[in-house]
Amino acid sequence: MTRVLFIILLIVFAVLLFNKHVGLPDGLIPSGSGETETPAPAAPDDEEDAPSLPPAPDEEGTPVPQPPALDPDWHFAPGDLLPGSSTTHGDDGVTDASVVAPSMRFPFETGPAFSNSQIFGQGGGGYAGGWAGPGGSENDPANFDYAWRDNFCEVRTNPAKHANELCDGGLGHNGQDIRPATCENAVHWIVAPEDGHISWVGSISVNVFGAETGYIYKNLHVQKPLPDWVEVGAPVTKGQRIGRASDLLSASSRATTVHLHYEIHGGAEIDGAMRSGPLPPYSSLVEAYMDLVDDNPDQIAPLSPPADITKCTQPQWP
Amino acid sequence: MGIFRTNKIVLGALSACALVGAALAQQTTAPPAQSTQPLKRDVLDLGALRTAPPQTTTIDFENVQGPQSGAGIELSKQYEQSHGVSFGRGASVHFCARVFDDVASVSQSLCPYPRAASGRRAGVHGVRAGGPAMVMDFSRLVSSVSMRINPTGGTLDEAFLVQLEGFDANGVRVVTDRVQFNWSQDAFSWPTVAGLETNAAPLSRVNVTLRRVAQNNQPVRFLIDDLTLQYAPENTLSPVAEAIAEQRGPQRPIGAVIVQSTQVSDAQSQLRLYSAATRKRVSVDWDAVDAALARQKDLGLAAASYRGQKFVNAAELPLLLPSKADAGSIVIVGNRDSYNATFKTGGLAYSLYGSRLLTVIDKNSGAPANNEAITFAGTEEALTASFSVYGVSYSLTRHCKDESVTADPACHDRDALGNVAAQMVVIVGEAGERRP
Repeated sequence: MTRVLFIILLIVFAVLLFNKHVGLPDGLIPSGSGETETPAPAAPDDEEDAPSLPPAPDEEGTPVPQPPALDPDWHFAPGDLLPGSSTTHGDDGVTDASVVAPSMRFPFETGPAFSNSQIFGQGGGGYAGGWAGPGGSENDPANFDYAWRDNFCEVRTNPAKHANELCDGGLGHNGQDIRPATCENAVHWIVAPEDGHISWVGSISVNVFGAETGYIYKNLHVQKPLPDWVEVGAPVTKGQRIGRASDLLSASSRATTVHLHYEIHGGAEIDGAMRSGPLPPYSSLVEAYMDLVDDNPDQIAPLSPPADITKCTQPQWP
Repeated sequence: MGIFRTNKIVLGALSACALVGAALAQQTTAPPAQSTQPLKRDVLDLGALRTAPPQTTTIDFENVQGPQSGAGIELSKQYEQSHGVSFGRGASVHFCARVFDDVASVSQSLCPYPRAASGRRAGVHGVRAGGPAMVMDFSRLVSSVSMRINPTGGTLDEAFLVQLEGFDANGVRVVTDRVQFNWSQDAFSWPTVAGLETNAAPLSRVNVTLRRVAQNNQPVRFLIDDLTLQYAPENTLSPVAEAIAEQRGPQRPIGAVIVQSTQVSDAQSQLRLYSAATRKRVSVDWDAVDAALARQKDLGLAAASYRGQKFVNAAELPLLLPSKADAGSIVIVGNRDSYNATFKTGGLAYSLYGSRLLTVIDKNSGAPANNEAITFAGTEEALTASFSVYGVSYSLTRHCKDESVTADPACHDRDALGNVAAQMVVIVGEAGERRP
């Protein structure tokens, strides 16, 4: 009995020491960014102060492995675009961090997945008339690693055609680009974010009307063939497979990276005016991803290497 | 509308037609682009209001070919291809001359006057052969019909009654007019002109009857000549599009309550980093919807056939749909507060989306203020126009061919959107009938 009490006291002492000297870091610099930006908060204040517990010993005193968790700096804040990547060469997207779709399921069936820029990432093609891209390879592990970046409002190849009244200059990307775990084409399943119905099936897209929210979830760069049942009007359940991510820029052009372009389209009140169009999806994706990896902690860590890159092709940038 | 007599009134009738045209042109002509009237400009940019000038055509019944009908030529579809009109049973074309050197024509003439209104022939409706009314069917809809009309005989100052009935595209009689005149046998030329015009529904059929008052309004044979048609403008705005075109800026909610569904509320409580966006359920301007429905009925406008009636019936909002679409292409999905309709027309695919739920978004501080009633969002695969009407927020999306702005350079041109927007109609399902 005395031995047991002694062990307990030792544990308490260890916990107190850990609290005092370790704690959670703040202001970490995301891996590979080379910048000194402040990342998004990883948790609300009350959770941020909570200590990480050391492994609890089992009855034999052997530490129990703790499940992996997302790094505190796994994503940048909503609206925090890559520097210079907005249409006006700034870095501001929509900074309203409110979650437009709180009950949304993450659109990839499994993790890890990486919301980030395609044209500004490694191997990115830049955009016509502007920046030529960073060079390198689309298959660079940096593209398949954290930290996430918002790219709603990012500049597009033909900025004049990408009207978006929420963005600087009234122009910019209307969705969020998400890379799957690897650069493999037509492998990673996209799933329905909520119960509803298929509302549109195009050459490379499948849209879902959410029965609960009334939103249209747009999924672009989807590889065919689709599951047999996928047609306009067909009912769909949350998490059901609707297609696979690809590098299709159109039905006949593989001119982009393997990724999902994801939009949430719905009615909105912007500056008091009624609108209907693309809503900023990043915060909703952040929350949905945390739900996904909470249930599947083995799907957090980036694959190393991210894929057998011989299976992947470089996009034929236009 | 009206029935006119004497050449002077003919001019009046033509002026009236011109006024109709002028009124339409006034509705649809672009005002100078002004920052205070952006919506008008946008609708015009959409290509919706490029109304062709009103077109008229005249049939003089000369040189018509066809099988013989007694002493005349049977008149049926000879003018369908060229003028968009065909005639029902009992119509024929006859000589109408007494002074020509053709003895046969003189002997066969049905005209009580020396000559036809123009040329040597006139149209005739024989009551015994075709029933009381001359029936004209229009494959190209008309907004005005006028003609000189005469009985083939009578006594001096005898009273006759002309009746014209106009029917819309659905076969519903939308306009009727009748007027009595005293026939003047000694007139040099045809003195009586009958006309029918409408600003409401375009006409697909007109029935013409001439009755002899002294004989209990018995229908009698009659002649027409120089039949003039004014075609209905094809690019006029539907009542829905008119309502949008009248706006001068963005619409604001006319009433709203903040809502969250139970499911979303549960999810909201589980959010870790960010808070849920506010969503509002706005009030619908049902009075405006009712007015639009009534006007559509007058115009004979209706939604093209669609699938998804159960979603229509569940919707507590007015649904905008195209009045023209490829057969069977409209598919509707939805819930109580929102809907989406996809369809195809003119070789292109579109989606119409509407919602009375608004998610409140604070835009980037660097984003420009937008005071336009219609805004646009361009994406990789589509162009979307956003607008509001009846208190509800809607969007119309044109999906690029091959879903690529590269493969479909015209995808972001706004004309195609405008042509569809111009003929949108509103419908209301069972839940909407309760005006919630």
